[in-house]
Amino acid sequence: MTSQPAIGERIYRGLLRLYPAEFRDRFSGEMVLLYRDKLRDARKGGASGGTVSAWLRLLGDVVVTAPSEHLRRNRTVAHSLASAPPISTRALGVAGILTGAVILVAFVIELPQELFPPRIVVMILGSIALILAVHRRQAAIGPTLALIGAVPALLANACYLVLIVLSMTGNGRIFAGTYGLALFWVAVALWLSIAAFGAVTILIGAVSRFGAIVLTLGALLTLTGIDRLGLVSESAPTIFNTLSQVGIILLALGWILLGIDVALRRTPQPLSP
Amino acid sequence: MEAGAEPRSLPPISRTAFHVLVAIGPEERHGYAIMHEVARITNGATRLGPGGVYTTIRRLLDDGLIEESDERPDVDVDDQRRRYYRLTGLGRAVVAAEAARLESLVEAARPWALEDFG
Repeated sequence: MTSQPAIGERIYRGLLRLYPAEFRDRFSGEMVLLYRDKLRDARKGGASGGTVSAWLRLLGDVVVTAPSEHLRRNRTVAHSLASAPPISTRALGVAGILTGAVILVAFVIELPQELFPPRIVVMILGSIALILAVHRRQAAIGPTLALIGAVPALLANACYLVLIVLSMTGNGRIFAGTYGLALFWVAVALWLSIAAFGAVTILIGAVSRFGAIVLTLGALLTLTGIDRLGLVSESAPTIFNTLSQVGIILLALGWILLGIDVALRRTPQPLSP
Repeated sequence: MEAGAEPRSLPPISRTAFHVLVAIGPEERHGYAIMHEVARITNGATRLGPGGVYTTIRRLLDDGLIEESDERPDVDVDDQRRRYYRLTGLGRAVVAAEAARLESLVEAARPWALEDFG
């Protein structure tokens, strides 16, 4: 009898994990107090049906408000009190969306060989734009961590871009010749740094964590197929190719989700009450 | 936006946010009291759970419409972890603006929609 409330409270504390960490840190203590008050009121009613009904209401409350808190984390009650993203941020976000779209289209449609390098260049430029836009948001919350996430990803993208442009001036086959092996290792750094950037984005928040999770997973899976052209080993396992194809789709979706978030999300304006 | 802005120029807010602001009113209230007050002023039509109360409180805090009071309850009277919230000047202005909006809607509806209800 005496252990029943403790078990219920433990379950409720577990349910509170469904809310964003930042929200939980701030309000979970008070929410547990409110939970105790509600259950006490329900028990005062006498019948055990009151407690069951209170629990059903609590479950409904968590089911409705936890996802909405994730989705609307940075929105404000009065939307006009929040500032729309500046044009430059919107443009960077749109560049991210276009990057994702280019990756998806290039994946679905068999592009002619000569369009392969320009597609990579567009992808890299878009990635750089979106990393800058996301970093701009993150910097306000966790400047050091945001820097750690963004700088390696920007450097790897820049190196990859330079190598692609250099190899385009050669014999036109970008993964062969002088730059082939260099491109391989820079690509490894690229996917790892993008995965790290995604992980930092998940940690810091400020933009869609869901988009960041998809991006991180996409980059890591894409990495598994890095040697599908046989640059290092003669035969790459076929499962890696399948995984990397899933990774490329996730990567594209990740850029699109983050791009939409950066381009559209309003941020609270500092107000002096 | 300033607290002294013309009430009608202030933006509309969600119904739940308005309920919570009105429930806090001129007092300092904690979550449980806000939850009860919302149920009371809406005649039980709106019953917020802990998630509903605190997600709304968070947004109102972020918008600067309410603030946390420094006061803590006496340890003999209440749990010291309870936090109390009160309206800011901007919060009061937003409530006034919303009330004026609702009042003008009621005035527009009264001649025909409410005639059967006296």
